[in-house]
Amino acid sequence: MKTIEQQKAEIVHLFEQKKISMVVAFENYRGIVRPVFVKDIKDVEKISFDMSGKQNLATYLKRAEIKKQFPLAMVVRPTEKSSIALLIKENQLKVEDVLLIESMVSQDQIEWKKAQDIEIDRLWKMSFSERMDFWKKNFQNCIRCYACRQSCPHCYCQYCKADKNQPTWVERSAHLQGNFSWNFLRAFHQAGRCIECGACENACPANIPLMLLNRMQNKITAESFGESDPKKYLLSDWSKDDDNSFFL
Amino acid sequence: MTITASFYKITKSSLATLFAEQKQKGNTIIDLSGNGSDLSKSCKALFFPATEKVLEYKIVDKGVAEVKPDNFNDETKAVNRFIFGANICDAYALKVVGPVFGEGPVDRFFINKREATIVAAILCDNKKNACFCDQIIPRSDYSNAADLVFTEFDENSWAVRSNNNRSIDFFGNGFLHFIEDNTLKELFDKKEEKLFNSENPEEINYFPKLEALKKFIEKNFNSEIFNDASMNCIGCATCTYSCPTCHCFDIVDEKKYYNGERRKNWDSCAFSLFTLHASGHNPREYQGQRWRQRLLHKFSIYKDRFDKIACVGCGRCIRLCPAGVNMLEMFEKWKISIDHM
Ligand code: SF4
Ligand code: SF4
Ligand code: SF4
Ligand code: SF4
Repeated sequence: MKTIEQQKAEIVHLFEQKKISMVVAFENYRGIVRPVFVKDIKDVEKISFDMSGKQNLATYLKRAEIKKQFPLAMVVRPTEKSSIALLIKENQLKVEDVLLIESMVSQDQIEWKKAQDIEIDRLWKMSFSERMDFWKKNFQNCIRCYACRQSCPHCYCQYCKADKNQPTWVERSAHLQGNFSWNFLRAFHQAGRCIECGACENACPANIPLMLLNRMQNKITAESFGESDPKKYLLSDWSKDDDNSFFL
Repeated sequence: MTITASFYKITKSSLATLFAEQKQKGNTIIDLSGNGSDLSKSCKALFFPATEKVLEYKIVDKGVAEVKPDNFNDETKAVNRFIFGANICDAYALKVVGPVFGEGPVDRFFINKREATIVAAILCDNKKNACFCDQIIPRSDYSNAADLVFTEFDENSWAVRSNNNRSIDFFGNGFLHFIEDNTLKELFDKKEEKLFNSENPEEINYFPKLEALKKFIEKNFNSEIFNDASMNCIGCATCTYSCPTCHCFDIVDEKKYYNGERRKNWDSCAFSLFTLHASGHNPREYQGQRWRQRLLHKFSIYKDRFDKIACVGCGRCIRLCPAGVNMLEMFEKWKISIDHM
């Protein structure tokens, strides 16, 4: 296993060889673990290999400012790796765009996922109307800041359907109907794609338990179409043998 | 300036009785003093909600629509409300944004609500993480920020500073629950002094002179500094929507076949959509330019237009930002250049 010092030396080396112009990683700023963008050898020391940051670094790969810096390097956890793999699969990224530096610090997702499992179980057991009430109660707090969308690496559409008003697909207003439309639209577009990193829920200032929706949906998707295939892409993949019975 | 404030004492149980009486009279009591989230404790949304119906229409014949209301003044009449437990900064923010809605074409939706509402703030005991109200709100405006300012006298009672006669009009006889005691002024002075001089947990090492900051932002309009400082920013609207002084809105029509409504919704300069032209051109293409706008509006444009700073130092944009963007850190980074202005 490489030490942190060795990894930092490798990064310095990459800069020296002009293989990269930027490293995206986490830093620890006064106790807050947050993304940092290192463009210079002298700033390499800022990189913290404490990967407890609540965001998914891969979300920056959709930004025009960042794309200009390709190829770049990113210090990654399994979270970022899964997202990058998905972005490559969906033709949003080329393998050579991002050089991965794997963080050796393991991160433990088990604990928060366990707590969610209990909650998901509880939701499954509810009647439809009880479950509806649960989501109503939560969605009514949504202020439509779109932090959930912005923090998700997989929400990369240049013009989100929620941003269109000619015609309007999703009401922009933060009333209950609009919030239901928005939250379901976002969730549906993650069906079988969400890698369960938790970035959206962590970003939501209204504390909406978005992961319950994402994970319940992933479960249904896996049960209906099988676990995700590294080569296939659930949202656009099809075969003529697919079940067509619901078409009129 | 002559001080017109008067001071009162009220027991917590009398206050509860007063609230109950008011509710019976049909007035609304909104208590923010409990454990709300940082976001929900800002009272901006009570005057300028995230979404609000402006009018509704019905197409009754070819080319003929019925529009309601035809008189905003009547239609937007607000219910009488008493907001208890706002933060001083949030109450002060209502004064800051007042002219936007009240000068020139009057925004009845905001102004009528403000006119029908008494805002009672509670003095903070401590600064929270990232708070810097003391750097921005003038000391003389501090306890003047709300209609009433409360501070705990002891376990069972509040000391109250009343800054105007609005509460007397509002409560009528109910105001007799407040017992006048002008010696309480000292308590307020002492608590304010303590708050102003308390250490900041975020260790704000530096806060620029507002004049210099204004010049600095204007001078650097075309520089890279904003891009560099906002690399982290993911372009959500958390900072602007949670900000008590951000006041941008968008007007949208929501239609259902032959009828529909027009709504006034929050909007944010952090969105790329905010300045997107119909042609597809976007004059603020990068997030750095959007952040420049945020700083310019707060510390320069608003100052020129309304002679006020459109930030009250509540710290929410720093505390709630999912990506760790921090305005105070930017200022600190630019310290040398700002101080040279
Ligand atoms: S949990 Fe899923 S939907 Fe949320 S940010 Fe991560 S990948 Fe996106
Ligand atoms: S982050 Fe939360 S409040 Fe913001 S749009 Fe998403 S669900 Fe709504
Ligand atoms: S500064 Fe933070 S809260 Fe504001 S738009 Fe950027 S990421 Fe969102
Ligand atoms: S800019 Fe930030 S600190 Fe200033 S009032 Fe708005 S949210 Fe509070």
